[in-house]
Amino acid sequence: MCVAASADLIDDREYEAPPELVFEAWTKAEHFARWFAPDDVEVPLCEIDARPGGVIRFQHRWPEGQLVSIRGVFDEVVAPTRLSFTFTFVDSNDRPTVNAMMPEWPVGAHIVMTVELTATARGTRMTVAQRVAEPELADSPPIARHRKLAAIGWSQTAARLVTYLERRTAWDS
Amino acid sequence: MQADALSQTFAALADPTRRAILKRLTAGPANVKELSRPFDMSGPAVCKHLRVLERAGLVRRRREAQSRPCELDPAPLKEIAAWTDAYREFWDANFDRLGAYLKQLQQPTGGRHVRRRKR
Repeated sequence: MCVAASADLIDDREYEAPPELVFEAWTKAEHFARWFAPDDVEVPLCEIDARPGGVIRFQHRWPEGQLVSIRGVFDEVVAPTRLSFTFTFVDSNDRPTVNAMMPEWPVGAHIVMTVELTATARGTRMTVAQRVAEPELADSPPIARHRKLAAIGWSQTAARLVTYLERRTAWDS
Repeated sequence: MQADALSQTFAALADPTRRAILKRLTAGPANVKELSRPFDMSGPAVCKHLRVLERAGLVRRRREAQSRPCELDPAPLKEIAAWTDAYREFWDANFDRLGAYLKQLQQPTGGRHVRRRKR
């Protein structure tokens, strides 16, 4: 797996579906809204104009009432293999604002999301990577932490370690 | 969240040798000699890494025995895991749902009356 050092690989998995369908699931609002939200989160808005320069907007309303809105612009749209858009968290006037669900995330930071799809014998391999567009923000503590964790593949390791250790009463002191 | 404590943990984890030491310690306590063996490193070099891990609260050294064995302290890792869990779960769950949705789309009914899978 080769990922640019500055990007977090957030997922790498295979689906039993052709790349064309996976691509549509990302680029058509009626599909995207069906899966891109936790089950208890409403999607009051979802608009996708998947072409270079086209806009993607959606809102998540969380069960406790927090509203998270994003607005993004497509950088690359190469059906059915590659998709990239840059988004930020915005208020109702499309102005950058704090993400109520991630309050420590720097306001106005732009996230570049890149999806790559490759046809496989079973269907499609999908990799999803994220990076922060602003180099100066990429080094701010919350983002740097995310990046470092992903770069060393430690987030899962840490979780596994904790699970493992919790089974060992010897450590409880 | 205590940002400083987390930063220290992250700095400690940023080195592959220190991560390897931590992994070794998941198998149980070990002294410096045992820890230096797989790394082709001198005792003092390993001690330097251990001090960083100690300062980050990831490793404790026992006082009772002559060899002062090191043991892992999972507390800071728990904090990291908690910090990343929410983020990871959000993405994992989304991509799981995408898989379920793709399956439904490929069913003969065309997924017109798709029900969202309860987790």
